[in-house]
Amino acid sequence: MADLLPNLNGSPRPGGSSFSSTLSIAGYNAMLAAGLEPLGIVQGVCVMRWNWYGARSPYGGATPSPLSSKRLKHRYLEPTDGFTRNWRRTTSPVYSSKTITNWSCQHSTRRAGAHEPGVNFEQNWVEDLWSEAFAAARTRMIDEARMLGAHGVVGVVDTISDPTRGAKEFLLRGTAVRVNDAPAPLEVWSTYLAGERLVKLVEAGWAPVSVVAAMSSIRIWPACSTESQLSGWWPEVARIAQLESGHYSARFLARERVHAESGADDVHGVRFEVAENRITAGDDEVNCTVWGSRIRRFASPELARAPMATVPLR
Amino acid sequence: MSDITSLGSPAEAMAAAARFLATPATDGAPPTSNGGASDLSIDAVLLLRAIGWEAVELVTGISWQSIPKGAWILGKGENAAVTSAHQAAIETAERQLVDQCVTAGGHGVVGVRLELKTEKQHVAAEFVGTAIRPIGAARVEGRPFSSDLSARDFVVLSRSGWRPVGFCVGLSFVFVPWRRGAGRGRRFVGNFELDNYTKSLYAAREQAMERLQSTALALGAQGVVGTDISEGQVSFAHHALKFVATGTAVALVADAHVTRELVAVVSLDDLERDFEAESLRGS
Repeated sequence: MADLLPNLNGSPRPGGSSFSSTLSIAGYNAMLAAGLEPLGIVQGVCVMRWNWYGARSPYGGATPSPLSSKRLKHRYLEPTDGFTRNWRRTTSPVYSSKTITNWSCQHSTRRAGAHEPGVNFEQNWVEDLWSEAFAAARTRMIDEARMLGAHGVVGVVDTISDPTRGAKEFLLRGTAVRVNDAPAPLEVWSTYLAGERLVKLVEAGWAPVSVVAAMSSIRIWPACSTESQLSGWWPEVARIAQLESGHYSARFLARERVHAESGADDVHGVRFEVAENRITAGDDEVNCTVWGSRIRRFASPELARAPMATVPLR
Repeated sequence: MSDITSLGSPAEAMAAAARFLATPATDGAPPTSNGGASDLSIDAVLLLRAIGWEAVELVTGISWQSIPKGAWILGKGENAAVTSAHQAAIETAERQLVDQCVTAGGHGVVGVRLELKTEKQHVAAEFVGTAIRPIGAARVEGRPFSSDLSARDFVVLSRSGWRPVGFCVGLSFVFVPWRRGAGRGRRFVGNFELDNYTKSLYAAREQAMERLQSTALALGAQGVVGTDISEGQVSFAHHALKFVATGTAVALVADAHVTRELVAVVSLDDLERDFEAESLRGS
């Protein structure tokens, strides 16, 4: 990975001893007041092939048609109780998922051949690819900062975009800084905060640790009763439990992954995004992404200034 | 964690943080519990700390409800099926949100955002917010509150002697009847008031506000603050109107309302951020 980075060796580029930063004037002032010296703009980029889940997909890169989805459905053994049951014993791709819940038909009457079970499953191959790309971009940004002799990276901005068809670009960019007259940290830290907000955080007794992010991806193949409920053929207002479960799982998993990476540290300023993707009729995907700044308490200072209520005159 | 009670200047605080990050951890035991998580800004976190509260967890709730075919076919008065589907979705999602707050040890949820998606045959309601509690407090007896007030509003409210008791929703979906009555003095040419729409919107509003205030009263509140209202035609059913009111029910816990003295300030924020170069062009 290091061979992908430009050779900085503490001298960023022909600009000599000048620095670059993405800080605003107010933020720059706040950083100087806190003894932080900006060194340069650093970034980490990772561009992934992102076709239909790429080469890692158990589908082998092919979009499952509704017909093949149905065929896959039939590989499941319909559970008798209609609720959670883990299956890992056939060759069907979804069995490589970490989390699978089966949903049986909830119709009160059955007509032969018209009822199918459904399944919610975690697309851990999508999640793994996403995590690998984000971690690579973050590591490259930190490596650049380390080469500049920085202690941390502030004001991180991240973007995930599709630069071309079948590709996804993960970009993290921030300003590398060094704390004056302080020892180097064990690990170069990073945070989405910058300027006065970072200073307030530290004054309140928290140290920045790292930017963290996690993603979860849940695929929903509805049972016949779920399809009936979604399309209005269910005779009354009813809770669509399979969809609720899929959406809830996506949010829960993403949040728990951020906690798992952060351990006992707090995660501050969380951004929470959910994308719903209808692949074909009756084949939905829910992707949930959580970002935040991991912070660690190092002191419990008394607040120097009690907040006061003000009326801005502008 | 050090026992420092005063970190001094910002530079001294940053130096203390840097020394901490350069020191290997002495306790190698794995953490027994997660840290906190919140979508609050650092200002909001510090404001909460100023009144002795802390953020503990980001909490969510989501619910989907089906709407039977035929529910949108023109009828009279309130559309009971669609209204009850929305109410059920909101109640279920809010219950999940508060359940997560209980699990996390929170005493309440602030900054709740409700996203309501109405489709022809189903409705989805989603809540996101941050669970908070008094610093280090044990689990709350009874049910935590939920509130769409920001952390800043929560601080101002608390300092004024009030507290939020719950997130309230009042909603109603009504049918707009055909205008009939030709030959009975009603106009059908030219511009005139569509009294069927006017009356339907009033009916929806009355029912929704009645529900909002009844919910607040049931929670033991004296009123609802920060009410947001969303009303108008349903995009795919032009003969249907909706009225959705959401807000936070509040109750006075002090003996009397505490009036806060306000300080006038001139903000030094960079106003030029709002400047548009295009505005220099003449019309």
